[in-house]
Amino acid sequence: MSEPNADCEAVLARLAQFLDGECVEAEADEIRSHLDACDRCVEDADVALALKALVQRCCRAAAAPQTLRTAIWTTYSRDQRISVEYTEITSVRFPPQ
Amino acid sequence: MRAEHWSPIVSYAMDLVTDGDKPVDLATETESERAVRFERDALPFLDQLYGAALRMTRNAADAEDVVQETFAKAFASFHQFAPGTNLKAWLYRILTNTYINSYRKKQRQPLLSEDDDVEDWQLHRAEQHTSVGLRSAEMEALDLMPDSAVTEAMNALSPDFRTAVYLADVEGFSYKEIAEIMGTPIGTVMSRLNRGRTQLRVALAEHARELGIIPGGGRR
Repeated sequence: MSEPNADCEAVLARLAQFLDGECVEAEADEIRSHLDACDRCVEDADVALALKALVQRCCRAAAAPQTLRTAIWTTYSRDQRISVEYTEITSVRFPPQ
Repeated sequence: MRAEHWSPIVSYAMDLVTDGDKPVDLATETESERAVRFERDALPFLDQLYGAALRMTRNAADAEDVVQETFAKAFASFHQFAPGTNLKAWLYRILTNTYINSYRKKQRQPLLSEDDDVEDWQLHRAEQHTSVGLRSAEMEALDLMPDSAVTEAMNALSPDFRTAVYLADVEGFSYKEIAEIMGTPIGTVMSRLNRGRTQLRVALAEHARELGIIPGGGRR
């Protein structure tokens, strides 16, 4: 395994940005070519990627509970509103005598 | 406002934003048309927003409240949202603000460092190769890591770190979007991500050692 050098330091400082897709292409190319040649930096990149994947896997959006889903849809869904309006109109049109 | 600076035709064209098949003219859109658009475009984010709220608040009851409030605010100000721009980021900004303003203050403070200026020994010489935590030789440990260990480690992060990591790694927002959602400069986003991920990594490595998934203890 190669010894760490000054390039490693520069690459590691920007590794997160690179893996997050936040580097411009020229910068990304520089990092890629360093990674091609440096086992140590590849290892760090692997760890960072695995961690990202793990967080994604474990924290993926939970489905909203049914009570919340019902509350939201009752308030904002057109079908629900129409039925509410219909009820109101009905009561206006046919008031108790 | 913009109409004063542009010719009527340009101004009209600016208001006519193509939204799917049919253009939305905010100036003439009726309330009921807007409500239809809200239902069609915003409501599908319910599960995602709840997932984010759950991660932020760390409990289901508060998460429900945050989401309810988020939809109420979004509905009330939906006329201010420019169709064709990033609705998801807009909703997450409302969600994040709601969480920060209404819920965060009343919640128990987290165990780990709260603000961005705290001295953090774990980041000491962060540019060095991995000396703490997990190495790729131990990547297999991650496959064996129970989900609960990861969510617990996430929950132990400070709210700002946790939110930044969540928005980047789970939702896939760009740094620029996260900066807008959290109302901070991009540099702060990068710092929160860096610190949050480092703390996660250390916590998970510790957990893996406790479980005996990886051997040894302390630094390598």
